[in-house]
Amino acid sequence: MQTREAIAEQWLGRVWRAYPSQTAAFLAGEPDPFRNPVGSTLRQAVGILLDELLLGMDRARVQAALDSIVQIRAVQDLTPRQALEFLFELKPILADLARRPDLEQLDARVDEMALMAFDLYVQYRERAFEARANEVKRRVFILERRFGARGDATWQERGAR
Amino acid sequence: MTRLLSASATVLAIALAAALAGSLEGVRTVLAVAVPYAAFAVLVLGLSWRVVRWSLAPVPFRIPTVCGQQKSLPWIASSRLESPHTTAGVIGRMALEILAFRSLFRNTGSRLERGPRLVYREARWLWLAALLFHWSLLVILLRHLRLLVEPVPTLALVLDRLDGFFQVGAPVVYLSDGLILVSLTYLLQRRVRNPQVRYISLFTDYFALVLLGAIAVSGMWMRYFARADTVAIKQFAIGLTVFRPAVPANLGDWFFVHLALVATLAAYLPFSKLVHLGGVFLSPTRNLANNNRMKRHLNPWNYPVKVHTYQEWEQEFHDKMAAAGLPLERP
Amino acid sequence: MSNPNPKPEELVQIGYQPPSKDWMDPSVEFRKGTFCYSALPKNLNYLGLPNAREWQPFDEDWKLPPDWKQIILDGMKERLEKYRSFRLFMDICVRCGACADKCHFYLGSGDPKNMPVLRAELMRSIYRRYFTPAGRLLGPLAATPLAGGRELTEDVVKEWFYYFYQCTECRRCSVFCPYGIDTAEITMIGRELLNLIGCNINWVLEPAANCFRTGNHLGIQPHGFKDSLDFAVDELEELTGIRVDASINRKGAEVLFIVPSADYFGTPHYYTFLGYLALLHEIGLDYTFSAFASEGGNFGLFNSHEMIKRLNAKVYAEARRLGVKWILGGECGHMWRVLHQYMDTMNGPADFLEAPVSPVTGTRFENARSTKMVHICEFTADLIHEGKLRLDPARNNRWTVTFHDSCNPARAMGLLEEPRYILRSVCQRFHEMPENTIREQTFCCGSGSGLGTDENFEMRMRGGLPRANAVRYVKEKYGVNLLACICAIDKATLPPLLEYWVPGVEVAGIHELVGNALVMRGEKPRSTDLRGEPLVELEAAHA
Repeated sequence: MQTREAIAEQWLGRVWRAYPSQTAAFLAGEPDPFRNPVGSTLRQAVGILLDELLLGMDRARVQAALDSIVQIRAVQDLTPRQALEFLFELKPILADLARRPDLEQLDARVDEMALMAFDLYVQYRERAFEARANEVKRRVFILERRFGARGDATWQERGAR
Repeated sequence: MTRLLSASATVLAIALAAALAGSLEGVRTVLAVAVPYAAFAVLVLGLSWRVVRWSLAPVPFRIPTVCGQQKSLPWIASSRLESPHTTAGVIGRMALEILAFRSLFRNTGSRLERGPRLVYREARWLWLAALLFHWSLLVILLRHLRLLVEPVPTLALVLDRLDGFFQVGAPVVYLSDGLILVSLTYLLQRRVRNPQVRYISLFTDYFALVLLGAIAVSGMWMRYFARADTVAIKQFAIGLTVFRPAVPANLGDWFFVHLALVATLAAYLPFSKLVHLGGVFLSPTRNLANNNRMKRHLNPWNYPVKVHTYQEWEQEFHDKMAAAGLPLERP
Repeated sequence: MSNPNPKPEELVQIGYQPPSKDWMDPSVEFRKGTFCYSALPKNLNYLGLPNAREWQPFDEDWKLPPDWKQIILDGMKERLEKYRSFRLFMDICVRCGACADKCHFYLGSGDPKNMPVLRAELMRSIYRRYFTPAGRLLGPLAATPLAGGRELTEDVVKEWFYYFYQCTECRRCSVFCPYGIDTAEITMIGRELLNLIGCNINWVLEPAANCFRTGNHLGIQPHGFKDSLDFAVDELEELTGIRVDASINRKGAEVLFIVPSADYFGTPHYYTFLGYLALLHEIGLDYTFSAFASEGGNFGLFNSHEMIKRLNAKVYAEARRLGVKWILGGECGHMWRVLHQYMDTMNGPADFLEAPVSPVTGTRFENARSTKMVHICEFTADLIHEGKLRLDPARNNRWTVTFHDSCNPARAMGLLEEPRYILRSVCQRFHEMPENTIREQTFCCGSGSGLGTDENFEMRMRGGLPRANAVRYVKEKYGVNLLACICAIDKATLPPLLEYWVPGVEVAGIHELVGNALVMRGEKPRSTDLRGEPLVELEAAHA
């Protein structure tokens, strides 16, 4: 279990390092999830990912944890590469701290996680674009509905007559 | 780090220069008489100039930051201190702000502890340290009346008694001395160690803290270790206050260091962020009542602006309005 | 495990390395998705604002007027003399950092210049260089990191543009500041200064220009306004079986009712609009809309104090022309900042109106006796408290509701209990978000103050994360599926925010829920709510 803690802390350290130092210190230091949503989400998710990596690799739990990380990173000032790099950061840490026989299996699991994360990343970018498109629609909601509704009505009236 | 180091170096240089000047016969009198008078004059004039400038700038709009329920319907309890709608409420709000640092205290919130580790809320320490520092400073200042006024005011005597309540050491150790050192140390280490605060800190932020720290240390050194001659100091101080300055020979080096640092602080204060001691009273987001819709606030420079009048508007859309059957001023 | 276990503290490599850039370096990168486009020349020209031209923030050359530097410095000088707030806030900040982690943009983006203290320092560093005795004495020497001053350069202008249009003027930081320093005040002055040299954004200037011309942000002309209103009246009749009378520009009405224009054009605002119509009909209020004052919102607030006054003038002018007794205002955030804190001072006194009295309950709104304008939540809370409405909260059983305090009604007015009282009366399941995210500590939607543009989408998602995070918490804990609020910008921008962060939670105005629950005399049995969605079966709800 000590190993797990050590890996988790080291990994988190690397995740924080992707941010400017004063941001990193805040993300790592502030425990209140409402004052520090990014930091606490990352911390929680990293813990889950690591548990699954070392134990059962329950796909649903991995998916949920990756989801919460990728959702944040997909709208941060990061390139796709920077957004997903944190998973690959895990490999050198594992190489240092894990027992040798595990290593190959762990490596494969990290790769699998990376692929899942890639799917999620694309999904969230799409969701962002959909939300944008829907927002534009909502803005002119009445305009569309009014003309839409009248169009329908005339068409139906014509049909009835 | 450069900012902290240069601030410390500046304070150290002032202290050394003062010690040196205090030991030179000719310069001594200048340092002991001219410098305090000059510094005091700068403090009084500078601070008045600042306050006058702020006061001359009008408050065009009533913009309190409201932190509680407004006064509206009679059956909804309004928050008299956080959203005051009366002058009494505003005085209460300001008193809480100035005496208890209400807003800084707000930094507390629900705290979530993760894992077995105990997590301290840094922000609450900031409030505590700031409060201890300011109150200690006030007590120390008032205690100094003992040296400046004869007969000693009762207030100073009472404070002296309370502050030395624990009767530890000889001379008795003052509680405020310990607290000011602890709080200044906390504030300084926070500036250095908290990355966010370090990032925003300027030379002047470190300078103020180091200067205050040096003043406290030199004063305490005189009292507890150098055992300065208080009778001589009092004789000198009273001489200054009645404009008949005399400089006794046995004031000691530490006294000159202390005096020079205090003079520096006094002269620096009006031109630095330390003017918050006057400014906090004037802050328009705190010292105005949230009674905007009850009582009209006047803006002295309210000037007419170009508006789009109804007549212009109706003229532009007249025909369309007529067609839609909307009422018109000029059919 | 081959090596002995290192201690976790040794492993956590929090970056204690100094930041790559000192904050005094003004250079910023305009990355797509994190800034707003410039204002179109036609809008500047219509409003008579300076330096109208084609340009974009990512251009190298911003085509500033040749004497731009003098214009900014003169403008600063003028404002230092006109606003005590500005001079004081320039002078007294001690950089304690209490505000640092209070800004939603900082929490969501981590960009240090989004700490309120630094946002203000961007301006203070110029103040120190050009307006303090030390700065003037030292001249260019004052523009060093040690002295804390900076030269005013074009890069600083760009940096101001970037960060003053990355502040939503929500005033949350001001709650925590020991001196009450209000970043909104600094941002407002900063935008005014930028405005003097023609650096403004279209999402602010276009609504302002539209509003100046037609009376509302969307540029809807009077006949179009009537059309929208008629459409809503028809729809409400379909839903309730009752034909309400909603007049426009009717002289002699008792009350003038002013709402944000999004209420009759956007969704979910529109359902709130239906709610108003139903409510005001049911109590028989003698009121009229105005096609001239067809906008309560005031994007002048995001441009300059002068523009606030120019756009706001129509409210009192129209109340006087129509001869009403008092004014009722709909659900909107920044609209109420202007109405509550600026209108009476700028365009008052409203001595031609009467102190508002509810004709239904007889309640005299003492709190609005000078401005003579009442918030609809105050009005409705009074109606409910006096037992004048028949409500069936079960009709809102589809929803488990939480309430988002909009920044301005919370921190400018203190309108905290009225909407909550209404909510508890019109729906059965209401849960608060955590304490430090509501009331005076409420988090901004991340899109206020004219930043709710499409091109700024990513920044908005980041800025809204603290709010979305609190919504997610109540969604998971209580099954909340509706976020109620009383702000038109919230209603426009929270839906995409939640769609991204917390899918499954919708957004509604308080008066939509009032309209759902309101049992109207002579109404047909309702099978749907105002959205046209079937009511949840009561049996199911009780079971």
